[in-house]
Amino acid sequence: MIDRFKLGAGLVIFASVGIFGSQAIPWSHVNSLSFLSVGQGDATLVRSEGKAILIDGGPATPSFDAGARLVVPWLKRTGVRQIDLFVVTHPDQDHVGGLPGIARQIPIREIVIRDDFRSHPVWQAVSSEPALRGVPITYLKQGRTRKIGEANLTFWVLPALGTKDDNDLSLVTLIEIAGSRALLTGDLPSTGEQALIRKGLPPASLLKLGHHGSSTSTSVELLEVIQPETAIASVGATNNYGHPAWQTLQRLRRAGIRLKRTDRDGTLTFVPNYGRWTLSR
Amino acid sequence: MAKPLEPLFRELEELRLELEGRPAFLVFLAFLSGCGLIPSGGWSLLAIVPLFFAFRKQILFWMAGLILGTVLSPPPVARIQEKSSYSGLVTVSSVPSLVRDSLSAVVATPSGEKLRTTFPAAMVVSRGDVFQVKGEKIALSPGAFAVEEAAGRLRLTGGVKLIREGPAFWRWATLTRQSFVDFVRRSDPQDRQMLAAALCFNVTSGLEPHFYEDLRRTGTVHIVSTSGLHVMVAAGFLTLLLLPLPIKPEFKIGILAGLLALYAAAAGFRPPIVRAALMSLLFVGAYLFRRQSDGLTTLSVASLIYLILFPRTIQDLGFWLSIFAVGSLVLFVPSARALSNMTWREKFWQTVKTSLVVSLATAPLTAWSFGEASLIGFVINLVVVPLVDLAIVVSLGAWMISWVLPNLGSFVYQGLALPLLWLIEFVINGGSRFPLASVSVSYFSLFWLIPFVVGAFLLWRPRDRSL
Repeated sequence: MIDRFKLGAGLVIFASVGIFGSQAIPWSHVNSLSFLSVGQGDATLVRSEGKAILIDGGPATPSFDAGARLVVPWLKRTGVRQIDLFVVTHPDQDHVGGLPGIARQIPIREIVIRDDFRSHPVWQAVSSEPALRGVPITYLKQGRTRKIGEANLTFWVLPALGTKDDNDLSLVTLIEIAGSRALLTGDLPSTGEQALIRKGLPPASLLKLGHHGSSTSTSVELLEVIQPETAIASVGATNNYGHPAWQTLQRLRRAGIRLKRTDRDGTLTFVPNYGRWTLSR
Repeated sequence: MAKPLEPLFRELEELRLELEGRPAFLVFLAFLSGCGLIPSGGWSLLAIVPLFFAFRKQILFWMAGLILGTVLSPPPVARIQEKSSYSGLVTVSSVPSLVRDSLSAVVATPSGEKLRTTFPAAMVVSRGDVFQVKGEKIALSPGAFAVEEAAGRLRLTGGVKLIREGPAFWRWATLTRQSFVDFVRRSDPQDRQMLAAALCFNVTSGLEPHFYEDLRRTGTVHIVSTSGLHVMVAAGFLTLLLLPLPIKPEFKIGILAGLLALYAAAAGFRPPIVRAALMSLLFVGAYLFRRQSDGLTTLSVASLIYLILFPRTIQDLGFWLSIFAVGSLVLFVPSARALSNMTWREKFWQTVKTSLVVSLATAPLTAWSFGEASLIGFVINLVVVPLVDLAIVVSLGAWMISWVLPNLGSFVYQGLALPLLWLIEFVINGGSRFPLASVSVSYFSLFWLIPFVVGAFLLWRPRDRSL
C-alpha cells in the first residue's frame, strides 16, 4: 500500500540517485563538451540544457564522409535531434566537409561563420547544398557573445594577418559553462594567437590544440596565458602530417599539461566541474 | 483500484489543508515560479498547476506572488570575456570582505554594470562609497560564474580616489567589524587564531587554504560564512540582554532591529544573514507580543521581503543554502515547547536527528556548489555547532567587555574563547583526515531538486505550528 511517507521517501531517493549518480549516468549530463573522433579533422559538440552546438563537422572525402558516417550516428545516439547552432571555424574540407552530410539528417537552426569567408569557393559549394538551403547564416564581422542553454559562447574575429591562408582567419570560440572554460582556436597559427592574447584572453582549463597540434600553433605564450590543465589533439591515426607535432608535445610536457588524443582515446566527453573539466565515460 | 491509494489521497488532503493555512508560503512558491518564468522559457509555470488545482481558495495570494515574481525577475548577467579599459566612477554595491591582503567588493559603474574588484586592505571602503578609478575590465576567474552576480572583474591599475562617502550606517558597520578584528589580533599575540573573526564576522583572511579544504571535507564551511545560525545566536544573546530592561516591547524590538541590522551589515549583509535577521525579528516580535509563530510562514515572509528588495538574490547560493537548512529545521524539528518536555536522552537523539536532517537537506546544494559532498558532515556538525555557538557568544562578550575594560576583555577571550576555537579546529582537522570524509560529485542539473523538495514535503508530519 502506498502512503505519503513511502511516496516522499521514493522521490527523495530518486532525486538523490540523479544528483549523486550523475557522473555515472551518461544521459544525465546536462552540460558536456565532446571532441568527436572524426579522423584528421575537427568536430566538437557542446550540449547544454538540451541544446546542441556543433563546432565544425569533420572531414569529407569522395570515399568517406565523416559527417554522415561518424558525427550523425554520435548525435543520434546521444539524443541530439536538432543542432541549435553550427559554428564553422573556417571552410577547409577537414572542418566543413561533413556539414552537408549532417544537415541531410539532422536539422540545423543557424550557422555562424566569419564574414571573410562569405565568397570562399569551398563555402559557396557547401552552403549551396540543398540540405542547407533555408538555414539562416550569420556572417560575423566582429566578435560576439551568444548564450545557448547554459553555455556562453564568445566568438573572436581576429584581424587578417595579411596572408591568404584560411587558417589565419579561423574563428576562435571560447566556451564557458558553469564557470568552466574551453578554448577552440580552429587552425589558428601562433601569429594569430598573439593577436588573441592581446585581446585579453581569460584562462581556460581545456584547450583544443590549434591546427590539430601542428608545430605552428599552440605557442608557449598562449599556454602561459590560458593555463590549460588538459589539451585535446583532434587528429587521425597515422595521419600524413605528423600531427600532433613533437614540438607541440614538448611544449605541453614542459608546461605540465595533460594531452588527450582522439586517434588514441576516441571521442572524448568532458563535463564542467567547478572551473575545471572532468573526463566522462 | 482506488482502495490502495485511499490512505495516500487522505494524507495528501491533510498536507494540502496544512499548506492552505499558510498563504505566505504559497505566495513565496508563486513568486519563485514567476521569477523563473522568462529564464526557463515558461516551464516554471508548471509549478502553478498544482497551486491552481490545490489552492483555488488562495488564488488572489499566489497570483499576486506570480505577477510580482515575473515583474521583479532579474535579467541575466552578460559576462565579460574580452579585456577593455575603464576609467570613471564606481559605487561600492556590496559590503567589502577582507580577503588576504585586500578588500574584495562588487562595484557598480554608472551604466549599472557590476564588477568585482579588490581595494588595498589599508583603505577604508564601505558600501555606498563612490570612487574615481582607472583599470581594466577582465573576465571572472574560472569557477566563479555559477554564483557570481558581477559580470567580470575590474583590475585597478591607477590611483583610487574617494569622491563621496556612502551612508554613515555602512561606515559604522565597517568600523564595528574592524574593531572586532583589531581586538582579536590584539588579544592573540601569536596571530594564529583568526577563526573568531571568521566565525563572528565572516573575516576569512586569516584562515589557511588547507583549513578551508578541511571545512569543505567535513561539511562545516557554513561556520565561517556567518550564516543564519550566527545571527540566530547573536539575536538570542541580544534578546537575553534586552529582556530584563523595563521598556515596552515595541522599543525592545526597535533596539533589537537596529543592533541586528548593524551586525548583519558588519558581517557582510549577505542574503542568509539578512534573511535570518528578519526571521529573528519576526520570532522575537511574536514572542514579545504573545502571538503564535509559524516557522514555514516566518521563513516565507522573511525570504519574500528580501527577494522583493533584492531580486537578484534568487541566484545567490548562500540564500538557498540557508532556505534549505532552515526549511528542514522548520519541517522536521519539533517545537521549542516539545523539546523542553523531552528527557536529556531524547534531547540528545533529537540533536543527532537535527544534524542529520540539516546535512541531508543541504547536501544537494553543497554538492552542486563545491562539487563535493561530505559523508561525515552531520557527525562533525553535531560536535562543532554547539562549540561554535558558544565561541561566538564568548568572543562577542569578551569584545564588548573590552570596550570598558580592555585587559579583562582580552583575558576572557584568551581564557575562554581560544580553547573553544582550538577545539573547533581540532575536531575539523581530525574529521577531514578520514579517508571517506567526502566524495566528489559531478555537475548536475538543479531540476533534480524538484523531486527532492516535493519528497521532503511529503515526509513532513505537521505537529505544532510553532517552531
